[in-house]
Amino acid sequence: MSKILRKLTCLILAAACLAGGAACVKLPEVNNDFTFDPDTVDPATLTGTVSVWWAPMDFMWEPMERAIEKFNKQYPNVTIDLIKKTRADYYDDLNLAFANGTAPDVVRLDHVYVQSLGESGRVLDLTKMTGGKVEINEEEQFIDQTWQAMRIGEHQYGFPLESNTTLFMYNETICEEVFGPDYTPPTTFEELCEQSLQVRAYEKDGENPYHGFIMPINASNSQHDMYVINGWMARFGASLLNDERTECTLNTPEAIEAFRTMQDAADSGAIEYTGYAPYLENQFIYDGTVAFIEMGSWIYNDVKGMDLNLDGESDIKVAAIPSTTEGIPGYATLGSSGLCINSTCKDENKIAAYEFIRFCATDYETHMDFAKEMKVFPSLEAGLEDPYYHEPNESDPNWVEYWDIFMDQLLISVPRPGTKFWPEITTKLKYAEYKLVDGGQSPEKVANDVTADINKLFR
Amino acid sequence: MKGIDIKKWYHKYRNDLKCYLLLLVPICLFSVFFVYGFVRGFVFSLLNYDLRFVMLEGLQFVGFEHYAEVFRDKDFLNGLLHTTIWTVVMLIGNNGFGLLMAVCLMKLSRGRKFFLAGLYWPALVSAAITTQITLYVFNPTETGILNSFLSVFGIPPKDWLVNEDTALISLMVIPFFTGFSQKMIIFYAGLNGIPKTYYEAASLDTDSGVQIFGYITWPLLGPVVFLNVLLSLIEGMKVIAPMQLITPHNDFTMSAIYAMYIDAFENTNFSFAFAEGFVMFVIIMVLTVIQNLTQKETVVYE
Repeated sequence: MSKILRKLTCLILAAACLAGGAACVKLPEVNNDFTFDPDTVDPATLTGTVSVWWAPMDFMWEPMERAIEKFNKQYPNVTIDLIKKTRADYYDDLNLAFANGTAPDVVRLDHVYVQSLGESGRVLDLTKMTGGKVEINEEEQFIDQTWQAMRIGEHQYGFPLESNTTLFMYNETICEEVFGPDYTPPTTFEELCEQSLQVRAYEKDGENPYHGFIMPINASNSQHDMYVINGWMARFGASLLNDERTECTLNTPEAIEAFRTMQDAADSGAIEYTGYAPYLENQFIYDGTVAFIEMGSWIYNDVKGMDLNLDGESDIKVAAIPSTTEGIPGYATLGSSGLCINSTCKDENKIAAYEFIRFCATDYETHMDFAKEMKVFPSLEAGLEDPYYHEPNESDPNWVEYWDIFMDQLLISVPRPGTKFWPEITTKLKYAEYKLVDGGQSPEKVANDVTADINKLFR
Repeated sequence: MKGIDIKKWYHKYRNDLKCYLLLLVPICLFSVFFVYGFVRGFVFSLLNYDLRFVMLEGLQFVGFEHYAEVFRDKDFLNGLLHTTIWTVVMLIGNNGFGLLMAVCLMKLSRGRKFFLAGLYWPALVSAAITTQITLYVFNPTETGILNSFLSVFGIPPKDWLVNEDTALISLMVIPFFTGFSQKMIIFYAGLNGIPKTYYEAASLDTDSGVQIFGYITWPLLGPVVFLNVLLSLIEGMKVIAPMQLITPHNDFTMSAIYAMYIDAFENTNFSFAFAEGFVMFVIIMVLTVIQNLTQKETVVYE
């Protein structure tokens, strides 16, 4: 009897072995050749079921529920299956879901990932799918940078849903205390460094209570890191990759100058970087000890209530990003997310999926709903003209006092270059930053090393 | 032909049946999640299953190409080096402290259970809490515990978790001092298992505690030391949590398993990650076999 049972156990283990070895390894089923003519779609008769991955925060969830309700009035036979993810950053989950064939039909992603997955054949090429109609019918409505941010070469991979960028913020109470009541914010990086050092040297009751310019070189949040470095490079006329995204261009004289300026500022103490303490930049802002920082409109309303000198006004003011190089504006990075269709979407649902993402991005009311709730800008050109961004509206908690300055900055913002190697590029650039500001390596060595490292990926 | 007497048969084999029925669930789980996964992973490691390319190029058999690549991959080799340093340091620290604490506990005549419970406490703290402690201690600003202590002597704040020379050491400090609890419990059980008669006999020859430890305790503790060292080796070689939670994507602290995780779930190069996993498996297996052979040769039980 024991022998029989032992044999049975061996049999189960052997079966598991055989099953593991013999089971076919299959790729997820995709069809990237599906095409249709968007002009012939009849919303009233279109059918399909579309699963959508969406971020969990209430401020994003509610507008999406309203969007689905409105969409279903026009497309009554399409079912939208909204899946609330447990965290906003679900890129890793998506990779796994794609590999095991359970990826949703539609997903909202940062534009660099839309490009990255598009280049890998993992999200549908909307240009090919619609025979070029996506450009003909839709392109003109969008702010050019946001449209281009969902695109590689001649291929469109998603619809932009919103846009945003960062701006220079300063604590007016600290600045007036240190520099006097006639304080004016810096317009060049040199002025910023001087002011930052003065703030750090300032003494009150024998102590130095304030921080100067905080730069979130922040390893815990890779994408924030890339946000910073991409905008920084643009301010020197440099870029991370060439236009074709086939080569790293961080060893050019402009890029080396950008690295050198960052290192000099860090060495002199003009830049305080936050390293592995991601909460620091927020902590400093909230406890009223940081004088200068670059941040987005979405955070402004959280900090604008600070009133340290109790004069009834917010201490946090905003200004254009100081220029680092004469003749080049203080560029910041474009932030934009969009909706795209996974290539695992079944053929019978593809038209419905396309119509849904097109609706979310182009239906003015829906599009503006997303932008307002997220405290960012729309990606529709017409949305920038909306009175919401031009007329005071103190009663709306999402309304930002400085929309006009943010908008000027947005229009000169620079997108990050999405490629299928984006995750690795992110990691390698982060190391480069640390070697520069904390590792004591020369800007030339850092630039050459990181360029060689990234170029290895392209080969 | 005589029929089977079920009652008699059941009576004869009931204990076997009960055992195997109880084992059936774990055997099935083990088969599905380990044996099947193990073989399937090996098959994957021989393919080009990299989501960045495979949808465009199609699935191909590449043989042992990924295995050769693993030994050329700078990130993995860097991770392997850090993993080895981590394993050796933790092995020495955790087992050294564990043994010291267990011996001290044995010397106590009163309050042994109280101290045993107290010293086991760190094992109950989750990895997330330990990482937070590390972050508080090595916070790069003046508010960090270590930096604020050093500022008393006029030493400027240092970015411990980022600097090449200090990042890995900073990660190791807290686990080095707090990771001994489980080892201590095992040593304590081992020490309790050594018959008192040996000590009584030894006390007739010498009063030296060091000699008694060297000639009686240490050799008889051999199997326990073997177990603890083996556990430490395996724990050390698969370390990922501190690196991922405290210093994500940091070249200076990257571990082999974290590099594997990044390759699989961030870079979507699943085949290469599986190959890295199998290399780690072989390394751990070889170390275990070597240790096993060494232990058999030197330890005398009676």
